[in-house]
Amino acid sequence: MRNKLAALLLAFVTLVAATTVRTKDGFRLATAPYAFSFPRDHYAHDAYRTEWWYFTGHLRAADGHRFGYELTFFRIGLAPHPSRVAKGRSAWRAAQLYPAHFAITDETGKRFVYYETFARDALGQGYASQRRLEVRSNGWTLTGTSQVRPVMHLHARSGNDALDLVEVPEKPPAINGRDGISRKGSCVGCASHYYSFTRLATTGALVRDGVRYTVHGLSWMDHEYGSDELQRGQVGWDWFSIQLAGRREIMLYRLRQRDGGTTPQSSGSLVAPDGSVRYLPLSAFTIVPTGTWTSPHTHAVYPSGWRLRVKGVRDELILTPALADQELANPGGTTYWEGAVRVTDARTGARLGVGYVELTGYAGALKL
Amino acid sequence: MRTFAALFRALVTGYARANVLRAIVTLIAVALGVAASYAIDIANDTAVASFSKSVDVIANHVNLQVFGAGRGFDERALLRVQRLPGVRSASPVVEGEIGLGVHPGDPQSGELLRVMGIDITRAALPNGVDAAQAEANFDLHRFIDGNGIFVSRRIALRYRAPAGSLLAAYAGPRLVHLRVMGVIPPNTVGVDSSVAFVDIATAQELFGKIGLLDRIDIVADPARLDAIRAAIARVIPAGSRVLAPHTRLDEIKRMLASFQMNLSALADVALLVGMYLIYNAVAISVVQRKSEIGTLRALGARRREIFMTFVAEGGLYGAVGALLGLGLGFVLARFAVQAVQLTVSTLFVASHADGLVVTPFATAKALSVGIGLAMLSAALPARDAAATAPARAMRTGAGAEHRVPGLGRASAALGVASLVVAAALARLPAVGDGVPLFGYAAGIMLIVGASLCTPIVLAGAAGVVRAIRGNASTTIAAGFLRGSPRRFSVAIASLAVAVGMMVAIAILVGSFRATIVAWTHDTLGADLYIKSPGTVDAGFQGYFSPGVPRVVASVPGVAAVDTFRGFDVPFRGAFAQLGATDVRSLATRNELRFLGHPDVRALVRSMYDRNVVAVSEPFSTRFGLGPGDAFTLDTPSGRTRFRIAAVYNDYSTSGGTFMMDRATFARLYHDDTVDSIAVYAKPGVNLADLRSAIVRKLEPLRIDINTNREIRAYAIAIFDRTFAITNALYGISLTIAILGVVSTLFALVLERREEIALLRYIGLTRAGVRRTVLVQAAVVGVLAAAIGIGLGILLAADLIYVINRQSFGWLIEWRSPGWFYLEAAGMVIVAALVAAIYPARVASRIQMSQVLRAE
Repeated sequence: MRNKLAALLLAFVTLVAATTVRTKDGFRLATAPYAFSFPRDHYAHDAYRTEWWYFTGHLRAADGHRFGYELTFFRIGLAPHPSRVAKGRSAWRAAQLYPAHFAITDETGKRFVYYETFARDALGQGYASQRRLEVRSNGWTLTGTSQVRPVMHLHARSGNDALDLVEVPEKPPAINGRDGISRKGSCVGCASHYYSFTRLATTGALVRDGVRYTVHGLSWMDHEYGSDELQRGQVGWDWFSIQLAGRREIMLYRLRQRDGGTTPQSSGSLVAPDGSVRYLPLSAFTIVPTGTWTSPHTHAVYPSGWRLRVKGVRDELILTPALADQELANPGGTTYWEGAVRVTDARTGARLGVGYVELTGYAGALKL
Repeated sequence: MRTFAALFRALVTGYARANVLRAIVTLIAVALGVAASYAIDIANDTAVASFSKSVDVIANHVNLQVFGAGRGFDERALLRVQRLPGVRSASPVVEGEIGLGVHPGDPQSGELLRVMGIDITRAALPNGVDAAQAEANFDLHRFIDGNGIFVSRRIALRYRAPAGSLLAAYAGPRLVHLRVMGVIPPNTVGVDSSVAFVDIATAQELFGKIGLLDRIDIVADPARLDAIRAAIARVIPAGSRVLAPHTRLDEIKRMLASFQMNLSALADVALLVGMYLIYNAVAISVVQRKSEIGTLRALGARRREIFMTFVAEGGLYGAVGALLGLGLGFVLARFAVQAVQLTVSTLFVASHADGLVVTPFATAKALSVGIGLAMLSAALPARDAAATAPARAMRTGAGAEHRVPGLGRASAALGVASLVVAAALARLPAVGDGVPLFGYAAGIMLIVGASLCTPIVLAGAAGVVRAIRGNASTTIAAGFLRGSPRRFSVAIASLAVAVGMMVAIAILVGSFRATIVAWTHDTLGADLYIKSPGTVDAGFQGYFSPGVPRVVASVPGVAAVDTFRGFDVPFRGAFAQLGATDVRSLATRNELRFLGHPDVRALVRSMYDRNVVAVSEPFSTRFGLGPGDAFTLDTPSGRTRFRIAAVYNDYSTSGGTFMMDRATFARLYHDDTVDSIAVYAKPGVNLADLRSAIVRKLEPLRIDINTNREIRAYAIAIFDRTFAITNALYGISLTIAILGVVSTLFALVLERREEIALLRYIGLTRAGVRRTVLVQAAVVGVLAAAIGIGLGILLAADLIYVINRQSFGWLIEWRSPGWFYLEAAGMVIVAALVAAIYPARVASRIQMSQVLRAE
């Protein structure tokens, strides 16, 4: 009797959950099935609470100087509908916030610098178009052509450091997850719509401490949107992007739980040279940290260096941070580690490619 | 050192134990003096600290601030500023005040909160918001879009507004409901409890400042600060200023300085009067132990050792008294803080004292001044002791004081000289920005002069007493008075100084009050006055849109309306008030009292829509500018030159006001808002009906509307509140002086034990002895009253014509409170007689046998 009741209750809850595709305050949840549509989905999606355009890459100057960079534009929706504009209403009434992060890893100079900016949808300080690829946070911008594979232009400048890059996708957008969603947990809506440009040919200029370098290299872009993605008990994630010499790319993320375990929905993608994507469930890869680094700024202890095994990739990979300290301790935002890594063959030590690793939730649990 | 300790034990410790009562009286007096001074110091420090916090609430690392010249500046300046290289963050601030617990119509109700509108999404958050945000289950969207507010714990408790509740408040004339999003923990560094935070959007809407900012807080690269500052100056609107964060605070502190200096001066008088008691106490102990001293001298004690012993006794009184005073001062400070805070909030800015600020400096000052002055006071009697010749002192009944011939005349000559110096000092100008240093010096010289003249007056009085025939008591009393001129002179002088201060302040306050009453009578000519509820004075926030006076003018029964708009502007390193009104109304309804009776019609013509102003008298005095002079000022229309056409009487601000035509103001400041409205009724209209008609017509706006009689009463109430603390202070001085009389009479009685015993022996009755003491007390009282009232009149002249003129620039008309002189005199004489009761009893119980045993 009791079992029957429990089963009934469970069925009911599942039913209710399945039909609820919005958050309490009206944001859309990322649910399956979802069919991406490009170029529309390169633009902003104000119906979801959280969205980001995440660029990381490895650059080389004519004189051999090596750099890693990160430039991320966030969109945080405060309300799913635009703010009412009326006489007697302040322009600062905003429905959207646009924080952005910018970091340069000077691999040759062994220096790491980072900046953040905050802008709300007021006075044109922050903006993300739903009709074209245009995202702005104060003076930092992402713009692009309206194509499935857009030519994108990145610009950021702070202090004595600046970026001015043109990004050309060499592969079509790689859709992560299954059925159009990348799951972050078991609950309905604990997911995002997530695709990547895994191979962006990059050219442009980089200013580091007032010195201007003409640079070229390889970048990676993630575009992800959803609402209330994280589940109770999750403290953060480890995310890996790897660009191998054979024009293959790997994306992996591992969601960490407070109890020390890994969320079973953690997954990844393996992108073939022709751009086709293979879904990697948690069982298809292993990530073993090989060391730790303690931040002198926040005293957070991060893993540092990994051994990676991915089904479909023959070699065991060793990931080594280009610099130990690539922590962004933002006074107003989230503290995380986002760094350039070198990728080598565990057996021969041969260089296999480059990557970026993101470690969140080590300096206090993450709130999204 | 061992000898010194032994001497101290022999001469002081044992003696004090035997004279517990008088030791206690002395200690109380010293403690009271130290307490008054300490309490005022604490109150002043607390006022400045809480005030600094309310002005200075900013995030960490802010090293530049932009302020506008008028009512805010265009918010787009922020975009230009934050784009500049080297600017790490730029945070916009919109400020305003909201009234809590306000009952519209009651101008004295409610409390003001200083509301800071900030962009919470920026990196540089004020500390208090950080703390409150961390505490609450914070919803950013509701904060921004739902009129969220962070309040202090004090406010949350007092107005029953926990996180999540709605807080009803007045933003100018509008009743608004704000959602409490979080409570700022107490003792958050840098946040006063009367500060609250809202989103910048909420602030712009609450205060009608759409599109405007009041301030930008900037974190700039410190290595290139000067270059960045110059770059910022180029991109901000005309008239705006880029300042280092403390510049503005310093300007405001300067505004408070003279107010606080006056309070300190009063408190220090209490301290000085208390020191007389130490003199007296040590003098008594010297006199009583002349023979012991003589013996010790004969046994080889050196003069220096004797001197140091008695100085140490003074120091001991000072130390114990000062310690007691610190405790008592701390208690008194609670009341003093309230009084000072009230004045600061009324006159300057909304702030709340959340706890006493006790600086080590104030404590060290109270202790060291207490002990130092005590030792200084003891030095004179200690010198007497040291001068004691061994042989002479060992003789019994060696009279208390040896008489110095010509002492009275020499001292009187010095006294007169001091008075002449005082007169000369009073003619010197103020130092710096209205610090009447020479005025205070003149006051001190007057006190010194009056004190030095006391001996000769005393000698004369003793002669008079002796001339009263047929009464043994008076004759004996006269003898005693003449026998101890110095001690009596000091007692009389200190009482006279206290009386003088009391009289001077009574004259000042009375004259000032009468002047204000006359001024409000002359200048408040309208029938009704309208302002926003919960605001102090007019509010200065520009809460009324220009439509409001038009609506009021359309109410049947209204003959005319005048508007006023004003706020403080930085002027020559300080602040002055800018006022704007329709000058055409001056021609028909003269609301200003011009000095020198200018042709008002011509004046109005010269001021109408021109850069020509009339300035208040304090403005004129303070900045040395009069009719025909000109000054420049940064306005939102750039640097502007104003010519001064006239000076008028004004007591509403101490900083000074310059008044321009409303059209001029609107043109230069792009501001057509109004702070207050004066309403003239048509003849025969019932004011109560008109008042409710206006209230109804302006709904849903809520207003304070008062008749001119109510406004006048309110002005006087503020005045009385401001001076409440001065009353308390001279009360303390007087108490100490009365304790001085008790102490002196005791000293006399003890000194003259042998003589009194002898007089008893030869037939003087107990009543006779009592009478003798009472006659002495009466003489002390009468002389103190006479000298005190004379001194008081001179001090009042100094206060009114020199000190007040120089620090505030107010012209106060002299009013002599005739009845008060009598009252003061009567009070002092009665107090002196009351003070004599106990010493008289002691004297009357002196037994021949005891004294003889001592011999």
